[in-house]
Order: sequence, then C-alpha cells, then structure tokens
Amino acid sequence: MDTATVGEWSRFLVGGAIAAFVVSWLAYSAANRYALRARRAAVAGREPVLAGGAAPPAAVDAPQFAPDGVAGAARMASIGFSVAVLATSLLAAGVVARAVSVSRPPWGNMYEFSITATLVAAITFLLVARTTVGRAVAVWVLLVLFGTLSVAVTVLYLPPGPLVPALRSYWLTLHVGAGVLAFGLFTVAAVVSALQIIAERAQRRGATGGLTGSLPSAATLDKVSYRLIAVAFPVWTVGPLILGAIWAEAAWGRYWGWDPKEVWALITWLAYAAFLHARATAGWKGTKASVVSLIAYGTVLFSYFGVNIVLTGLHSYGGL
Amino acid sequence: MTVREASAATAPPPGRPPALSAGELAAWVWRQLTSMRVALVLLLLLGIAAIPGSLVPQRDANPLAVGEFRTRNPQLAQWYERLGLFDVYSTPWFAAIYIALVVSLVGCIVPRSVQHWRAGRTGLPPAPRNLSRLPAYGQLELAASRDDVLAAARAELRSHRFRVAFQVAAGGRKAVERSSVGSTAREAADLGWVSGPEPGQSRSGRSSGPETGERGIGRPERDSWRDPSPRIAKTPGRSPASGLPAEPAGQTASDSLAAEAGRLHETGNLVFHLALVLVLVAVAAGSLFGYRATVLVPEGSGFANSVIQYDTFSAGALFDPQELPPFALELDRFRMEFVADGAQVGAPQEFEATVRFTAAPGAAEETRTVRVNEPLEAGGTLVHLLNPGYAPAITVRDADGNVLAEGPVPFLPQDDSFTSLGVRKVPVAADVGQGEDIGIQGLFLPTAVVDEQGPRSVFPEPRNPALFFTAFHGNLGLDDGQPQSVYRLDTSGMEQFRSPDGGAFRAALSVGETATLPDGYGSVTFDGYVTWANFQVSRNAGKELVLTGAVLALGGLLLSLYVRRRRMFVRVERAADRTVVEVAGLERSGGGPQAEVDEIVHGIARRLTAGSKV
Ligand code: HEM
Repeated sequence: MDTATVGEWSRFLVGGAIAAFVVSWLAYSAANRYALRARRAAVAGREPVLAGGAAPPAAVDAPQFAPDGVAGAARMASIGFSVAVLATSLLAAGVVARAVSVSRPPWGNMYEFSITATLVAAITFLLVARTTVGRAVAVWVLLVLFGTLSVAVTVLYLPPGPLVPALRSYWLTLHVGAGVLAFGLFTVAAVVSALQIIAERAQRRGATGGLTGSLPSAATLDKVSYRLIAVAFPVWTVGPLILGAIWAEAAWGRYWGWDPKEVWALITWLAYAAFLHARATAGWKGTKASVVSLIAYGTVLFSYFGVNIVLTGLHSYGGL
Repeated sequence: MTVREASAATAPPPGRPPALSAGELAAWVWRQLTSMRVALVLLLLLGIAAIPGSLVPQRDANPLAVGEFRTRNPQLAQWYERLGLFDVYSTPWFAAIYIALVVSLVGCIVPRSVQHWRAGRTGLPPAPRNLSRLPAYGQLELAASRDDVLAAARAELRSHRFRVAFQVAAGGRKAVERSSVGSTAREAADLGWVSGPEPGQSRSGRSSGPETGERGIGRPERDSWRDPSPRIAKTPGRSPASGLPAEPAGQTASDSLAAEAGRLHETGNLVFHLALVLVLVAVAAGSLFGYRATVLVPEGSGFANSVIQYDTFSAGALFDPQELPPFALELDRFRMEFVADGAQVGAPQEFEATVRFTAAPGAAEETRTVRVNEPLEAGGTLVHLLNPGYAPAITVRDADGNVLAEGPVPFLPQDDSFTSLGVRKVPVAADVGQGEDIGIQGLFLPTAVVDEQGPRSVFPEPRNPALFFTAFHGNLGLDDGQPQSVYRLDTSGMEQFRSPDGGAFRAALSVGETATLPDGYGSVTFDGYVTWANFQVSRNAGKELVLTGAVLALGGLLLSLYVRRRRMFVRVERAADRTVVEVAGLERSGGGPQAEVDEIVHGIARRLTAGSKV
C-alpha cells in the first residue's frame, strides 16, 4: 500500500471517529435527560409530603430517584462511554495512519496538530469519564472534540506531504509534540473550569434541578481543573518554551526573538502562572480562579489559531 | 520588628491624607510591590503588554514589514512611533513592567528563602488543642501504654517520611518553651496553616482549622506571600497558638507529636522562582554582549565577517566589534527544491547552501554545507541560512552598446511561487548617453503566466523564467545623502518611459532577450538568474546560563506542583485503662490528607498489636 492510500485511510478513520463522537454525545445527552427526569420525578414526589410537614428530614437529604430513570441514565452513560472508546480508537488509528503516510510525527501542520491534540483530549477525557466529574463534563467535552475534529477535516485539511525544510528536525517531535499534549490537557481543563463556574452559581442559588443540578460540586470541579493545569503547565514550560528556545537557537540563531508565536506562547505561560498564583497564594478558588483559567485558555486558542491564521512571522508555515 | 507593624502604626486616619515620611513611603511601596496581589497583577499586565508587539510588525524582527506598514499608513505610523509600538519589547513602559516584576520576585523570594532555611532548623508548632477541628482526623482507642503508643506513632510517622519534630509533654509546656525561643511569633502564625473554605461549600467545623484565616496561610514576619491573618493577634483566646506559653488547659495527662512532610514543596518553589531570576538576568546580560547581523548573498559572491558588510546589524551595548571572528564565506552553490506535483505542489523541499569557508585571513579554505536547522559554527558565532530568493542578471547598455550596469540583482519574493519584486538602479554620469539616471522596476517570475491577475509565477522553480519590467529616467536621488532601500525606486525625481502609443512603457523578456528603451536611452538585457540566500550571523551570549536556569526552574516547578506539604499531629491521652490516640492532618494547599491520616491510625494499631504478640 502506498503512502497516499494510507493517507486516504487516515481521513476515513478520522471521519469515522467524528461520527462515533456524535453518537457518544447523543448517548450522554440521553443519559442526562434520564437523570433529569428522574430527579424531577423525585422532587415532585417529595413535595406533597414536605407540604404536609410530616416528612422525616432524611428524605430531604437523600432524594429518591425514580429507579427506572436512574437505570436508564446509567445504561445510556455506559453506552456513551463505550462509543467514546470506539471513537477514540478510530481517531488513534487515524492519527497513526497519518503518521505512517507522512513518515514522521503527525504534527507538522495545523490539520495534524488538531487531530493529535484532539486525541490527547479524548484520552484525557476517557481517563476521567467513569468518575462523577467525567460523567458531568462528558457532553461538553464531546462537543468540543467533535467541533475541533470537524474544523480540522473541513477547514484545515491538508493531504499528506513533506515538511517545509524549516520543520525538518527532530525538535519538531519534541517541541510541537509537547505543545499538542498541553493543548489537549488545557482544553479539558477549560471545559471543567467553565462548568465549575456554572456549578458554583447554581449552588449559590440553591438550584438542584436541570442541567446544573447534575454537575458535581463546584469544589470538585475546581480541584479537577487545577490538577489538569498542574500537569499541563510544566509540559507547556518544557515544550513550547524551553525546547522551543533551543530549537529557535538552532534554526534561527537566537533562542528568543519576540516572534508572534513565541510571544503568544509566553503570554499563555504567564496567564497560567497567574492562575497557579491565584490558586496557590491569593487563595482564589472557585469562580475567580476559573475565570483566570478561561482567560488563559483564550490565549492558548489565540496562540494556535490566531497566530497561524491572522499573524505572520517566522512560525507561519503552519500550513492552511 | 516588621514592616507590617510600622505600617499599621502609620495607617492614616480616615478622611485625612496620609502623612508619610520618605522612609515610610518607601516601605509602603516596597510592601505593595512584594505583595502577592501585585505579583499577580504584574504577571497579567506583562502578558497584556506583550500583545501589541505580536500584532504590529517589530523593527527588530521584521524591519521590512515595518517599512511597508509605514508607507501604507503614514499617519498611523507616526502615532505608533510615538508609543513605541514598532519596538514594544524595548520601550520604557514594557521595561517598567518587566523590572517591577523582577523586583517583586526578588523582594519576595529572598526573604522567603531565608525564612525557609531558618524554619528548617527550628521546631514545629505544637499540636492545636482541639485536633478534631483539623480538616483530616482519626481516632483510636488502645490498651497499650502511653509511651508505647507514642513510640509507635513516632515510628509510623517516620515510615511515612514525616519529620517528627518534638514531643510535647504535660500539655505542651516543655516544647513550647523550647520552640518559643526567638521565634514564637512565627510559629504562632504558622499555626494558621489552614486553608479557607472550599468554593461553594459551607464551612463546617471540620473543614476549617483551629485558626482559619480567610485567606489561607498566615505568614508571620513577611506578609508578602500570603495575606496576613491578623486574627491571630486579635483573637487570643481562641487560638491555641496565642495561648503560648499559657497554662495548658486541663490536659495534664496528654502527650503530643507534631510532624511535617513535603518541605520539598517549598524548596522547589523557591528554586523555581530563583531560577527565573537567573534566566531573566542571563537573558539581559547576554543581550549586552551578543550581536546579530544579516547579509544577503547571491550565488557566486560572498562576505567577510565585519560590520560594514552586513545589511542589518544589531549588537548589545557591551559588544566589541573587535570580537567578531574574522571568517569569510563564499556562496558557491545554493540549491532549492520544491515539491514538483501532487497535493502540496510548490512546497519547499530542500534548501542547501554549499559554501567555501575561511576561518581567518590566510587560513585554509574548507567546503561546508549549511541547511535550514543546520547552521555553521565559527568561533562561537552561528551562521544560519534564512530565506532564499532569485537574483535576475540584468545588463543595461546605452544607445552605443556601452555597459552601464550588469550582474545579478536580488529580488524579493512576494509569494510562495516566488513572484519576485526588485529594481535595478543605474546611475548615469551627465556626460554619458542621455545624461540621466535609469531605474528599472521589475518582476522576476520563475514560472511565468499572464492571466487576468496580471503576470505572476505559479511555481517556485524556474520552469519558464521571465522578467517583466517598466523603466524610469531622471534622478535616482542617490547623491542627496538620504539612505534608500535597494529594493525600491524613489520615483519622485523620475519620469516613467512612454511607449509609442502613449501608455506606460512595459516589456517582458525571456532569458537572453533584450528590450530597447524608448527615446534612445539604450537597452535592457535579461541574461539569466542566480539564486541568493540570506544568512544570519549571530552570537547569543549567555545561552548556557539561560538554559541552566530554565532546567533548574523546571525541576523546582515539578517539586512545587507535585510535592504536597502537610503536617500531622498526634495526641495520646490516658483515660481510665485505655489510651486514646488522636491523629489529625493539615495540608498546606488546603484540605486534609484524610487517607494518610487513616493509614497512620491503622499503622499505629498494627504496630502495637504486632508488638504485643511477641
Ligand atoms: C516571573 C514571574 C513569576 C512566575 C512566572 C511565577 C510562577 C509561579 C508558579 C507557576 C507557581 C506555582 C507553583 C505552585 O503552585 O506551587 C508560583 C507559586 C508562587 N509564587 Fe510565583 N511566579 C512569579 C513571580 C512571583 C512573585 C513576584 C512572587 C511574590 C510576590 C511570587 C510568589 C509565589 C508564591 C508565594 C507561590 C506559591 C508557593 C506555594 O504554593 O507554596 N511569584 N509562581
């Protein structure tokens, strides 16, 4: 089989992964719906008792879910998980096929970068998918994965081809590879941070029903996003910054030159450093920290899309 | 003792402007600058300040783009110039933020390092009175004696790699006396080592500690790392720490242990920040000694490493031109290859320069290859291959056939297919030909097509090379002392040639063809073309130091992020014929290490039951 055929296969596999992510998303949405209905039923069933004033307090603390709704939600979530595993496997196969077709790590242009970063995010998601947090963020994470992949195959797609000379270096593997990894982790962290804000608002208003009611506690979400960022931050420090500087010294004769891409990698780093500071020392937890996390993620998106598409600099061989 | 107290004393009464002496003002500024809030703001501010430099072309990185921008928006460019937007990273306002951050960093880290080092040699604060109020808590009743239980607890803590600081006998009296020598205040405040409430969680007695400063950890002598928790001073009765060295309250028969683990968190954090300072200082110092130059070399010519030969040159303030290694370099051959067909047709495939290199005048000549990503090194200086292009060879003759100008002129590529723009300036003496300068403005097209978009190239390799040009006569303005771009004609003193039909004069030539200029000005011949390569010659002083700092910072960061610093307290109390052990834990980052507390409780039990079997 020649490399072009493998490249075609890769495209089909990624397409298949998109379809599977949609199915998984539908299953998780259905799970949420079941859970919601169950909770409504439970609330409705409890109210008259409360009005009578004779309910034991325990009933308030532990609402009884309608059992069939709960079972339905669990079944749907488990289907969603299985399909997400399938989708991730398809995507992994697609990424590997792409790597084979170009005979190098699959992150030489924006298309490859996107599918590989999505794979990282998908795997990160699968690792937490069975926890309460994972269940709660599933629909949102899947939506982001689906969106990124769709943009990748439609707007960013480039057929397999050689790298421009500037990219032909083993530094590419390390520098951009770490960038891809951090990008995937930051993405999941951002989704969790966004949900943290929603959950905290809901908790403050005392909302129990609806979508917000099904979220894990704001404190848990806060911790999860912090942990993800605590993993991603050193990766960003190594990949885009330290290895980037080493490569820049080899490729352009200076380790730091205020190229737009470098500037944005630094801005992202400063923003996440601010996040860690806010958490560690200013004692900001919850919404305030989540807002900083989302701002920082905005800079990640810009250093990726904005710089490659809008700005030009030495790094503008992203290929679009 | 501290800045904090001084400031509290001078806090202005409401409604009246503060009357601060210079010293007090300085102290106030210093305290602000080294506060965490300001560090946070400065971090974000530096990020924001870096943005304009990525949107507006920078003179340092891309002087051509700056020039273009100025021609296109002369008005706006003036404003940009005034605000320093073309040199963002060397403007005073950018430097101000940067320096403030470094000062803040140093002001923060140095006192904290000293404190951390001292704290390593003194004891831990005694156990709080009510252990069950710490975030993680466990309890156990045993039949073993008090001393056995204490020994088991100590061994168990050690096996979890805790540093067991001291034992408190008779309600804490003895230890307090020992530890309070010289550092009571610090230890007292250290007991406020409890986080605030979790977001969205109501505070139960369990989730807050003995002295819950809202903002987290109260730092004693330096408040710059944490917001202070003055409550320690304000609420004496409630704080076990402030009870020091008061009478132990009714716990005469209890003993306690205090232990700590994860001090590497703090060490790592300090290493991280100190290494950042090292990186910043090394970058700044290096830029004083380094230099960078670029030179465009057509195939067949070369350059020697000296300042006057360069197209652009920039160097740090302490750079000495004498230090330039005296090498010379001749570009023998420059090969560019592009993808010939398929989906990525026209993408660059290989750039390779073969050069003859002479390390010093008189030294033997060597042949070397320079590729993108593979620079040539010469005496600490790196020679890099940057961007390539074509230089069409254009010969201009007067009407009598005398050569006025010849040889390759570098043209600048405008797109990925190397549609290249350039000029040939032909100064003509008053007594030659028509006595007027000639300027040629041309397009070099490696693979020429002419379609509704006009003449352009559709492939970067020369498959159908052509020169399209128009020409001007008059005064090039080369003698008036103004520096000029070699890629642009200043046509203010010139007039465009007209063709016989009255339109502007234009011609298109293939290799070897000649066009005659109107009105007896002579002729233009397109002889062929060579490639050119842009080389960068640079030295980055201090880069080893920068790298060392970066690696240290990374190591420190990992410790700081992944080592959790925590304390454990064990209290053993004899009640009737049983011994009650309480274990409580506290995490620096907030929360409690409940799992670890449970393990230790079980561990103590295991040790004692195992022991009793013997
Ligand atoms: C270039 C500027 C700076 C950067 C990039 C930076 C970065 C960081 C990072 C990434 C952390 C997280 C480590 C952790 O969570 O344990 C951190 C923690 C911290 N930083 Fe900075 N920082 C900077 C400046 C400062 C300054 C100016 C101060 C003091 C005013 C400071 C004080 C602290 C403190 C107290 C911690 C928390 C330590 C702990 O959790 O125990 N930093 N910093």
